[in-house]
Order: sequence, then C-alpha cells, then structure tokens
Amino acid sequence: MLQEVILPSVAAFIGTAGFAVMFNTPRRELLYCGFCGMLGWFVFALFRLYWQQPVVGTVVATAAVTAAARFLSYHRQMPSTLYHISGILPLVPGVAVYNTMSALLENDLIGAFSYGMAVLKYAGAISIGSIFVLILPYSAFEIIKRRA
Amino acid sequence: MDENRLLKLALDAGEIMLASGAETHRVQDTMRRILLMGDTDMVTASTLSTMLIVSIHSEKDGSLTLSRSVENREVNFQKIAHVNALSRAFVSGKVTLDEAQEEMEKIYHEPCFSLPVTTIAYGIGAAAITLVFDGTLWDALAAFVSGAVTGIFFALLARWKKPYFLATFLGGILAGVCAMAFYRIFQVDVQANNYNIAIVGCTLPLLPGLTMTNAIRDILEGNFISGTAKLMEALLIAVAVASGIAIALSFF
Repeated sequence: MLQEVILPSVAAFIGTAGFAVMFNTPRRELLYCGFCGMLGWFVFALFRLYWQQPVVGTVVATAAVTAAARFLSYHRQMPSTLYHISGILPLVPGVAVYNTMSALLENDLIGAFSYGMAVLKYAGAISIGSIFVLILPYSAFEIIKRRA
Repeated sequence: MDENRLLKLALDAGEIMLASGAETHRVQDTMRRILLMGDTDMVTASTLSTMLIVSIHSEKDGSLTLSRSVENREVNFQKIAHVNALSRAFVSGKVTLDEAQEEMEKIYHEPCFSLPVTTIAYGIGAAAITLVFDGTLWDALAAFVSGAVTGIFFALLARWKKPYFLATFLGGILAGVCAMAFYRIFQVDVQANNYNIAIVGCTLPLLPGLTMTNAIRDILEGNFISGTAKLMEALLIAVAVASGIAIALSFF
C-alpha cells in the first residue's frame, strides 16, 4: 500500500507542481495543481492495486481530478483549465506512446498496434472521465459556498 | 463608449487567451462579455480554430467587424488567469476602457518564470514523474539531468517565434539523446534500470495533454471546427514527440 500507492502519489504531487511551472501557472496555484495531480494518481493507483482495472481507474481518476478542478476554480476564482490540465498530466499515456514508437523502430508491428490501441484506450478513458464531470452545470460546484 | 476601441480590446483579450491555450468557449464568452459593455446588445464573437471574429452593431458608425488570426501558441496559464480577472473587472465597471487597454498591454508582455526556475522545475518534475512510473533512483537522476537540459532548450526557444512541430520534435530528440548519454557516461546498469521510463518522464509535458482535453471540451460545447482542428493538432504533436524520441534512440 505504502510503496504502491502513497509514495508514487507524493511523487506525483511534486512532479505535477514542477511541470505546472512549465505551464506558467501563477505561483499561488502551484500547490493546488500538485494536489490535483496527487489525487488523480492516488485514485488510479488504488484501482490498479485492488481491482486490477487500470482503464476504469483512469476514468474514475480523471473524473475526480475534473471535479476537484471545478471546485477549486469556483473557490479560487481561476479558470478550471489550470487545475484540470495539470491534474491529468500523470494520467496521460506517455509510456504507451513511447512503447508504440519503440515497437515500430524494432519492426514489431503487432506490438506497435497493440500499444497504439492502448494509447487510444487511455486517451478515450481520460476523455470520458472528463466528460462525465464537464457536463454537470456550474451550480453543482457551488454547494460549499465561497468565503466572501 | 468608443466601439472601435471596444472591438480592439475584445480582440486583444481573445488573442492572448487563445494563444495561451484557453478553450474556445472561454475565449468566446470573454470577448462577448466585453463587447456587451457597448451601447448595443447586437454583438457577435466567434472563434474558428486560429481565427477570431468580433462584430458589433453601432448606431453611430454602422456595423463594425474585425478579425484577427492567432499564430503564436504556448501554454501560459498566468496570462489566461489575468485576462479572465481583468475582463471580470471591466465588465463589472471597476476598470475603465483606457485602464483596461493599458492593463491588457502589460499582460501581453508579462514575464514568465526566470530561466533557472523553469530549468530546476522541469528537472524536478521529470524526476518525480519517473518515480511515479516505477523508475529507480538512477532513472530519476537521468530524468532530472535531461529534463533540465530540455527545460533550458524550451525556455530559450520561447524567446523567438518557431513552428511548434519543430520545437516538440527537437525536444523529443534532445530528451532522448540526453537520457541515453547519461546512461552511457555513468555506466548505469541497463538491466536493473529502465531508460525508457526516464525518457517518458521528461517528454511527458511535451505530449498533447492540454490540446486533447481542450479538443474534447470544444466538441462537447458544440465548437466542432475548433475541436476537430485541435484533435489533428494533438495527433501531430504526439507523432512529432514520438518520432523525435525514435530518432534519438536510433543513434544508440
């Protein structure tokens, strides 16, 4: 649990905050971006560990990140894109894209196809997870009122 | 209120937001709100992929339409946040047209994080993401070094205009070459450590996560032209990064 879920989540916090600097996020929002990244990876790692379902995990994790981003956007009066993009960064199928390309290089066409399909699967999972939360109206995220 | 200047303000706001990676709906909404501060409510603000069109029906001057194409593309959340705040202040009447125009000019030339900060941040980010993907400490170190080099490269590249395909392509090559060189120079055990993960760690922010997400949002909100254009853009960027890495790997 500690090694498979908690430590990677902490690393995801640092990594997301670090990459958020590359996106020129305002200084005060860096920690919140890191939090979104941590949340996403935590949910994903839980699903991967206990239910062996990385794709469903990606959907749920993305939905959690999107919801957190929209809550934060209401409470901090910032565009939600800021937290959303940073938050899904660890979930983007970078390893699968890489594997597709290296399989192509080794002329392993079947491998390249299966990795390529994995890329599409995870990209689709991220889209579906985002869509579920994005279609909710803005007022759904005003349940906890902002401090004036 | 002077309609011509209002149109220009709306276009400036739209240009900065679109060039900084905001989603189409937000750009349109911001421009529309600014235009509604004029005397008439017959306004149009639309965004077609890289094109902004605003028009207003002025009693004094007749119908006015301005358009502008946006070529510059980078991710800059600070500019989006500031334009968003400024347009809110302008719409609620706290800021006059003159002040808003001045402020918009300032936001346009706003400095980014300094070079050392972005370099270190890129390195730390790459190292941490490598650890997330079950890399070893050696992998993280390799990712830190090549991430820092890639960070410097991108910070320098941002100073002058460049086609973004070339930038991501060169970024992929650079990250791959640096990581592989690190493993060679320090004689890292390739069996126990996994250089693939280090390379993925430092190319992750180059992958089109933002473009993909924005494309989906655009399509969901009915902006089909922008959405499909962005999907193609995402595909192009992914291919650019991947082929950059592939070229780097074929050197070793």
